[in-house]
Amino acid sequence: MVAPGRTSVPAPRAFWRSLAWFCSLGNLAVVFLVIQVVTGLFLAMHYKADATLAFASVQHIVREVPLGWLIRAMHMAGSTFFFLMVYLHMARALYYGIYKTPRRALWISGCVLYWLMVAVAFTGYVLPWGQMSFWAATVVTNLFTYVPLVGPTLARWLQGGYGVGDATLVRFYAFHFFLPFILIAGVGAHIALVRRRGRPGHLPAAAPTRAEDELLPHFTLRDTMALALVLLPFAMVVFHGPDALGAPENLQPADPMVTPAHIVPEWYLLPFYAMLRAVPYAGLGALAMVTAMLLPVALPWLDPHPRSAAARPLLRLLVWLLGADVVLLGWCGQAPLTPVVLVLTRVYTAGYFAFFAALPLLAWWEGRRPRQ
Amino acid sequence: MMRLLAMLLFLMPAAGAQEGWRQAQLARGAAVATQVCLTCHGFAYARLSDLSHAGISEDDIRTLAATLGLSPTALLAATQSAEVLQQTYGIVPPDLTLLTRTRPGGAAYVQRLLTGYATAPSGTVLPAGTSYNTAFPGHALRMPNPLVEGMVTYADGTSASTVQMAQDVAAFMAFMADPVADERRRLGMFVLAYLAVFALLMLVTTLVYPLSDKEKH
Repeated sequence: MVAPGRTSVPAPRAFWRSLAWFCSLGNLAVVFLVIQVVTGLFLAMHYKADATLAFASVQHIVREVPLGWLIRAMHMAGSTFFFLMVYLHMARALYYGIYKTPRRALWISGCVLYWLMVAVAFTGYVLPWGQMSFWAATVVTNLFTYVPLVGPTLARWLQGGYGVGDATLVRFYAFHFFLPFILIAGVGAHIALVRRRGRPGHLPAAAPTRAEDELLPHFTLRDTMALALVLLPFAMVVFHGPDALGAPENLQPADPMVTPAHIVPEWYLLPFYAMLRAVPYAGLGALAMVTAMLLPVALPWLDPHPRSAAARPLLRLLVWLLGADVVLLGWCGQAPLTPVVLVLTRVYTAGYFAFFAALPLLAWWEGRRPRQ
Repeated sequence: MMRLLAMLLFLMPAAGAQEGWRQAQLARGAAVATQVCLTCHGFAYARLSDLSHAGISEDDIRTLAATLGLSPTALLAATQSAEVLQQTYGIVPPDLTLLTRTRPGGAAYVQRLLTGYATAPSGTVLPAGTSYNTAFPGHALRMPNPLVEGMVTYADGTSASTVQMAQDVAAFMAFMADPVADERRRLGMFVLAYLAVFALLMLVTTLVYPLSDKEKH
């Protein structure tokens, strides 16, 4: 059917492969950012940032505001899906070496966006003012006391007093409302950097070469399809299991006199929380946790090798091991801290840091071998 | 999808009868909750008007509220003040609105708890002011057995046995913990069906597109 001498559009299977599905993840993350902003705006119209009213106002939203339950469930599930997209987006950047020159700035901007996201998510988790909100805020703000010199002052400033209370809630609400504006600006810069750097090197060979072919219909088809596939589980959570991702303890109003038996953060922070719990001396644990969150930004310098994991079998293996390690750390983070879990967490924590330590060694070792 | 089809094809005629039975149970549960539980426990985020989410008409809710001597739109606060309860029991009894969602086992647990009072096995030492309960973790429950046969007169004539009251009030509590649950699932089925069709159409489009565009290049 194709006239001889003409370039054909690839057959369906080749076309399917040329779509580079991983590239949808960033766009999907933007979709969830928009969902968070829109639902958050409507929640803000009914939410009361006051320690005596916050919990009841959330119940008012899900019970009495028309479709308030929908807005709230979307906002809760939205944070989970936002993080899921971003983690997969980061994993793909790690695997395909997007952090290397000339995309170093892109990777760094992405890391900064991730830290901002964590801050937004954490301040947001405190707002319903349930037991888990209150105690998570207590644990995290107390971590700031370990900052050298200014620690105690910083913690007092974050809490707005000696301990978590109304002042903490109100300032967290202010942060939760304000930080997303910086996040949106940062995402704009991130996208501008993507556009300036052009298509990444790891796209399939069959991918279109001209920019206008890329956008229409390739990217529109691919991203709309990916969106439909991701919205399905999203809707499943929103409509059929809005409680599935939240801790039941958070359905009890904050009570400073009663510590929950088992304080757990949301799933997307579990690996870091596991480190915090498992490293001896709370100060060191906090240091390990913060370092683990900051470390990915150093990737461009830790891995000076010009090629990505996709082309280096050993690094590829290490990246997969890191992925498994993070998932296992996450499991440890939610498990009760038995001696076995403690040992496992320490092993996995060591594994996490070993990955980053191995990168320069691996690059050096691979550089020594004669090129084939 | 399958659930949606099943609902549309088979369950629609039966749904009416089932709904009527459920509404009657919720009305009975409301009687137990407000005449027994509410003495000490609040339902601080719930109003009788929430029952409209179960399809009970506004008039029926108003009648029910009048029978129970309550306002249909007021939040259901405990009759006794927290201070009095603290003095009497040494603890402020927990709010019941969300209890079935915070306790493992939910409504079934509540029902087991309410029917779980028994004589302590010989040799058991119970702390002062507690009752032995088979369902409660640790078995020493500060709440004395609240249900006495026939203590509530049901408007629909059902005889108020302990088991009946426990069942009804557990159902009421489960409903009040999440009054929009049915509405949410109903809407969810349509949303999921829509998204499934949308994903399917996109899949077909993505597969068919390369076949359709050969002339351009």
